[in-house]
Amino acid sequence: MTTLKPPCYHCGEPIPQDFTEHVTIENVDRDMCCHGCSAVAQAIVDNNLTGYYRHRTEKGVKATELVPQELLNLQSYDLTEIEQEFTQTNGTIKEVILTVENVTCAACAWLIERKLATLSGIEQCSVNTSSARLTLKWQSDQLKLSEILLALAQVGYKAYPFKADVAEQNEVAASKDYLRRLIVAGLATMQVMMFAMASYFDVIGSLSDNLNEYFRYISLLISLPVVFYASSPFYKNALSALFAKRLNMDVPVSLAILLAFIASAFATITQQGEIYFESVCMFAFFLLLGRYLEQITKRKAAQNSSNLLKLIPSTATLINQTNSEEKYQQVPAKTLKRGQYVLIKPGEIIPADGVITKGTTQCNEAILTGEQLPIDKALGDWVFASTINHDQTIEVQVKEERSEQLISKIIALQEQATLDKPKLATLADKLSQYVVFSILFLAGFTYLGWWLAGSDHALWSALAVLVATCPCALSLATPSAYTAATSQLQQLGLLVKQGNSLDVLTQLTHICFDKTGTLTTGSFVIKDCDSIINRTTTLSIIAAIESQSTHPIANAFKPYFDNAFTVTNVENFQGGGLSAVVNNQQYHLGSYEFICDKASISLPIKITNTNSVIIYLATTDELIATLSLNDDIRAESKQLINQLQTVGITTTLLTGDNSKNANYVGQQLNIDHVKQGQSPQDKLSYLKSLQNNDAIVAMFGDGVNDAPVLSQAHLSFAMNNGADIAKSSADIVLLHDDLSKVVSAITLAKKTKRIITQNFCWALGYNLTAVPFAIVGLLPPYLAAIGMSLSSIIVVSNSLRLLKDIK
Amino acid sequence: MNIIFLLIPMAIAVIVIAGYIFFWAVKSDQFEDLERHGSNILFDEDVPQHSQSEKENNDVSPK
Repeated sequence: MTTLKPPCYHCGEPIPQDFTEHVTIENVDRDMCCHGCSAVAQAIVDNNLTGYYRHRTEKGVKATELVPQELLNLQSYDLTEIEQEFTQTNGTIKEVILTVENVTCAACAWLIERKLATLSGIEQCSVNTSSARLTLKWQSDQLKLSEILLALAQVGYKAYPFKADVAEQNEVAASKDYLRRLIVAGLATMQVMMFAMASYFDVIGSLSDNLNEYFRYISLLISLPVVFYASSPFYKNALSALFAKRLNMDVPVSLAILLAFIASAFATITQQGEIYFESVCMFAFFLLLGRYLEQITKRKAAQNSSNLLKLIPSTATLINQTNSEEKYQQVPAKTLKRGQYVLIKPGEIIPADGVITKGTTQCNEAILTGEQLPIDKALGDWVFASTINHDQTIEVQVKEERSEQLISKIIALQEQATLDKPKLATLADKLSQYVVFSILFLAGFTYLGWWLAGSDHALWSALAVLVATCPCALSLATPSAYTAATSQLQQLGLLVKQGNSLDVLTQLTHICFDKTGTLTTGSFVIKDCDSIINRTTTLSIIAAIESQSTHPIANAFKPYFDNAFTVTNVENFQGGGLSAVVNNQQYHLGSYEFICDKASISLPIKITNTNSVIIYLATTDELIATLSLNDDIRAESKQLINQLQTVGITTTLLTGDNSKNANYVGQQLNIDHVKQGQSPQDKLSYLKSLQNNDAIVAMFGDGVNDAPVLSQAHLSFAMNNGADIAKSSADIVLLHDDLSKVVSAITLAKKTKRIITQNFCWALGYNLTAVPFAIVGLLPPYLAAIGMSLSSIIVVSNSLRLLKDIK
Repeated sequence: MNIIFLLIPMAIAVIVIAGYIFFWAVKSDQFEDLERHGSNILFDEDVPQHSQSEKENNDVSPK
């Protein structure tokens, strides 16, 4: 280690030893860590936007230059059929909402808006930092969408159209609705409380009778919108629960609001007894506040999860044969018809299920099967939509239309599983039944008791019981704790989409894992390198040869790429290996058979009993190196499995991979059961069989093949790098792919459960203490109001303890 | 004390107006991004120190 360099000025990451690029920002030379960052920083300087650096509160994100495939993707957004899916057209003006990655602070928003303002043809652009969305209006005759996206990429932001979740629109509407109701309840509570104060002090007798009566009528008037507008969601929920022959927390809530209001209104008109308008309003206000905060969390989760569902256009190169002349045309993949021919270049995603009519190649079908290594495809073999073509350009005849394709069938399976998903009752739901009965029983008992005793205060005492038992704190107990815990989980990088996920998390008995991409990183690393020359030189030679390849193994060598090694004459031998000339020396790189065939040398005995992929590097007459590569197990996997076992959760590896590697990973991580070679249907039936044995099962996955199981499991986790459908099926998305955070999540869920129990104890304790006083008629309205608000505040403060940093 | 019979309805009228303004604010998305617009003023302050071209940018910048 030589002198310590300062970190990259743009992204804050360490700068590699040999990288010396810098950018002059406001007359100071700033070091950069990579070409990507320095290009972005230079663009920011060139556009006079250095204010970004002065005001940002967080470092930027390491910039990567667009690869050619991404540039191509950008252009395909301009295809009319694709653009129509997400833009709105009004004359020549087009409007779109995009999600922008890595918008971290207000400075990012400013930078984006300024940069776009320099383009001619932009009518309006505004960035919302809390939802990471960019709203754009532009003149379509002056500017193309791809040009706008390219301008954003220059300053280091990637923007995508996305599939707005239907859930999201509902959540946004619902949170606005709750905010309006909250405002009404809040304003009314303040007013009613003011009049109530006057009558509280009337105990001294300073208020004249008609002034007192006036105050009562005014309070009644102001309570009307609270009872009939602001509180209506409670009645709606309560009614729908009753129709479904269930009881939920909203039933006692609605009862308390309506009965207390009706009795107070009766008291006002008949001029006898006590009024509880202030309790009614305050009760509604506290509950709405709880619901609103809960709604905001849900809405944030819905927004974040639709931001994950990027609309990456799937296009296809259609071959039009006219008079023995072939014409190529870019079309959206979904418009392909059976019998049409498409051209697929290496690295492209296969647009439809079909049969190869020209060429041979290798396809990576990991997304559908979990099988990690590319599969050889020859003339007449089937290829499947969403898989990746690796080696050669092929022509494919489309055999199945959209709805009949393998991927659509998996999606159908997933949709069915969503409907079958077992629902677990939450603690609050169970408790609410007892609450409803005890409230009604106590109030009825009090009325009957006093009536039998011949008291004319029977009704008012019964009402006091109702207000005292009013489940304000009780119904805040769960939502406030969930809301706090959910936002804490977000800090950990876990996006929680379902509120009751936390409840399920504490009940788990089984966890099933997918292998590739979940427990393992899904990319190869070099495990052993046995070479007769310098290791670095060997790896650099291989990196040079592999630099042209899209094979998953090639990525393992990327870090060793060195410009000092020039490569020419690369030949790709289907399914075997590569031959190339590096620095004027002929090399062969590939499998055992390939090397035996190409080089006139005798290799040591082929190693077969291994979980690794073995490749050889040889010149024409000498073996240079033997390398073994492995799909790397994530460092956090071991930790997670160990911790799960100590808390008594059974683990199962449920993988589509049928190679030895599945057992190897299972052994390495000490997983209880290993099920390999599982199709999506197999995985689903395995999970169902566990659920039928009363197990509470969670599933971790990332691929399309995991989507049905993810939907069926009681609780499901998807990796951020996973397929869209996996992320949309899952209850929780791991935003940083960090499995060790799941352990913290379980700890947090347990803590949440403790807090909820404490909240319940407190709320019930308060209600039980107040009830005897109410029964004997010793609970004046002001004490009821104070008691209710104090216990609610205590419950909420207790929940807020969850926001403290967890270890 | 009789004036209170007039003052309270007037106060209620003010409350209704306040409520209406809140409703309008919710409807026009004023509560959508509470974090960001607070710091916008910082950026605008810098403009005069900079070159002419940024001023031009600033003029067309949408708000």
